[in-house]
Amino acid sequence: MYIFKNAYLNITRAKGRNILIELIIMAITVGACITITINKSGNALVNTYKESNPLETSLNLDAMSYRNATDEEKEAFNLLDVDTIDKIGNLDMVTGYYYTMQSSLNSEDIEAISYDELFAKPSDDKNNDTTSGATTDNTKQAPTGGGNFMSSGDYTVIAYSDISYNEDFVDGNKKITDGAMIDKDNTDNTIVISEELATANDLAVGDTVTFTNTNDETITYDLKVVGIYEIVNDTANSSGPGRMQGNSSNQIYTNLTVLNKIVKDDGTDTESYSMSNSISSNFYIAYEDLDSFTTAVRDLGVSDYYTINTNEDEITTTLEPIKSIASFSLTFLIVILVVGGVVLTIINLFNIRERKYEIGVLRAIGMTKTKVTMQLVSEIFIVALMALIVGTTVGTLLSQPVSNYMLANEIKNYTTSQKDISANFGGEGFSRPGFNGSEDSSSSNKNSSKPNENKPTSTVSTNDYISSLEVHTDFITIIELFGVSLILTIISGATAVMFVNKYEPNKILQNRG
Amino acid sequence: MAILEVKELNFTYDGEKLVLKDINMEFENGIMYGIYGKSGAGKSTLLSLLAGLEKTKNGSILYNGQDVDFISREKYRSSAVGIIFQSYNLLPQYTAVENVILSMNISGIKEDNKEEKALKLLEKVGIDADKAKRRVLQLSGGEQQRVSIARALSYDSKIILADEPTGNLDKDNEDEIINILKDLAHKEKKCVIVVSHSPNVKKHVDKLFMLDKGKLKDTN
Repeated sequence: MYIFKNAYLNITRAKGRNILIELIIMAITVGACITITINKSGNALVNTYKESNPLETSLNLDAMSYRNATDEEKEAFNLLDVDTIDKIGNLDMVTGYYYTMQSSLNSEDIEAISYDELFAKPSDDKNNDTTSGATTDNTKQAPTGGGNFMSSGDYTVIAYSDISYNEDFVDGNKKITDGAMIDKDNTDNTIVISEELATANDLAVGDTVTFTNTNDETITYDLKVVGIYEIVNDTANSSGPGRMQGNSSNQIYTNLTVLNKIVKDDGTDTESYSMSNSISSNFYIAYEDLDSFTTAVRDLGVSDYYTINTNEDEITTTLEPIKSIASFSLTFLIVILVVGGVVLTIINLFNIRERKYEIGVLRAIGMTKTKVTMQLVSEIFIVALMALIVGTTVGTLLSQPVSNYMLANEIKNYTTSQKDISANFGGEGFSRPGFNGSEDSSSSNKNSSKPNENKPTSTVSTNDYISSLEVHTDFITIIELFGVSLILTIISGATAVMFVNKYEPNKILQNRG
Repeated sequence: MAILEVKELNFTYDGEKLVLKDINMEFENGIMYGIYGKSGAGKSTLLSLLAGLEKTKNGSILYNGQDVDFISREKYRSSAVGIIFQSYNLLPQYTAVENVILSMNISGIKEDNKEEKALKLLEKVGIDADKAKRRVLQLSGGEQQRVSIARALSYDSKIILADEPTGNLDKDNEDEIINILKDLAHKEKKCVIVVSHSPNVKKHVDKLFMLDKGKLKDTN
């Protein structure tokens, strides 16, 4: 017991020496605390990102390989249809999926928007009347398969199995400005049109527009406008001046019931429809499930002519800066610990050498080597403990704002809050199953998408990500830091003491004399 | 009966030149012994061996009939012998009383109030309570040597070994320290062994030995 009392006395009686050691240990602790926290925050952010942004996979027909296939191979080839898409979507590892169908319509009631009109100067309006059904040319698309072919009309009609996956609205390139988006359970004859189309034809929410089938003008569809969207950024590829169908303003959103009816009325067979890539599918899975997903897809009979593409490269690129920060902080931590450990050992060595005489006296009056070592290590331990408490407190206070700031910036760069997404769709209820932060993933349409059971159902904001990382970092970091620093301190102290203990007390005292 | 015996002791540092040659001595309680000689005669080496600070290589030292080499040297130093050094060898960061208490703690003696005992010991050697609570570097050389004596007495050892205890002191202080040591031998029946080349010490010891080139001569 007297050993600890003496250790305490020695610390209080030699303040200058101990303050120097405390400052060094504190500097090591603060540096280590910040780097560990940043490292953990970075890794946690990568994991959070991967969890909230599952791997997006799509099945695409490799047309070149298909063309080069033999007749027998073509005979054995099965096209990807909606039933197969649903089967893939219901695989265990698939956290969400959707598919889109696309067709076209004409209309005698309203005038389509041409590119010329869209980009015309106001003074040109009267002289450039390139709109109206008169421009409809009913141009046939190049045949890609047998049977009747899809016809091209003025208006592109698009239906999503789950509209909440529509990236244009998710990213804010399009926004509902009046009415609401058609939800996934809607089967009525409803449409959502662009502001340009509504303005040009004096249409408002609640109006009904009559469209005609592109192959058979006698088939008409009375579709009610339930929503109007604004094109904030036009991301659609231009089909060239004068074209109507490729113009984003002429894109009309409807539900699968309406679109299936149009396709059926077209007389387009399933094969030619699928081959024209007018149906596309996307599936969301966890990163680690890619191999099992590929196997399962092939087991469901999906032909090798369909390639499985992912956005892995894109996400890897996105996460690279964060991974770099985490990696750099780990390297920096190792440097701090190694350099700090060496400096601490040297200082302890000098400190103990300076106290060689004291050790000689203690040994001369009968204190054992073990007790001398215990006393000196106790002193270093007490000093280190005080420095650790202060250093960890300072380090935590400094590292949290630093890492939070980094995280907040990073999250802001890649995350659009669900609230903003909902606003783009014109209201609540357009959450994407499979994505972290789905407002109500359990309400997803079973036919088109699955709820992600592992994901929280609360609305995700930037603050949610940061606060969840804060808690995680604090506790573990402090424990690790204490462990590493104390081991470092004890080793450095013990090394120094062992160095001095090799001298006999008589020699130490004689040398002093 | 001898409390400490030296038998056929030979000692060399380098393995060649003998510093001590065939030493045979006996020390008893209640007597103040003096060992004197010129510098380099081997006085301090002999004292270091008696104190257990050096290990015997040839010959033996017996404490109460037991070979010191077979006793824990730390235990021997902390309980059997009290050592007084020429340069005091006190711990400067501690007060006088703390130095004495530390010695008690190392020896492991059972004492209800160590501070009280330490203060009494210090008072006995002429250090009052006020000075006892000063750090030792704030005391004079003579006072520091008194503290050193109090420390040597703190665990009631039977043998007191003093290496040039008055070497750094003036005449008055030298006399006082010699008197304290004499009292320890005569009144408290301790075995006091003093190594010195001071003529004043020679005059006061009960038995005197001379070391010359490593050989002991009984001058009594």
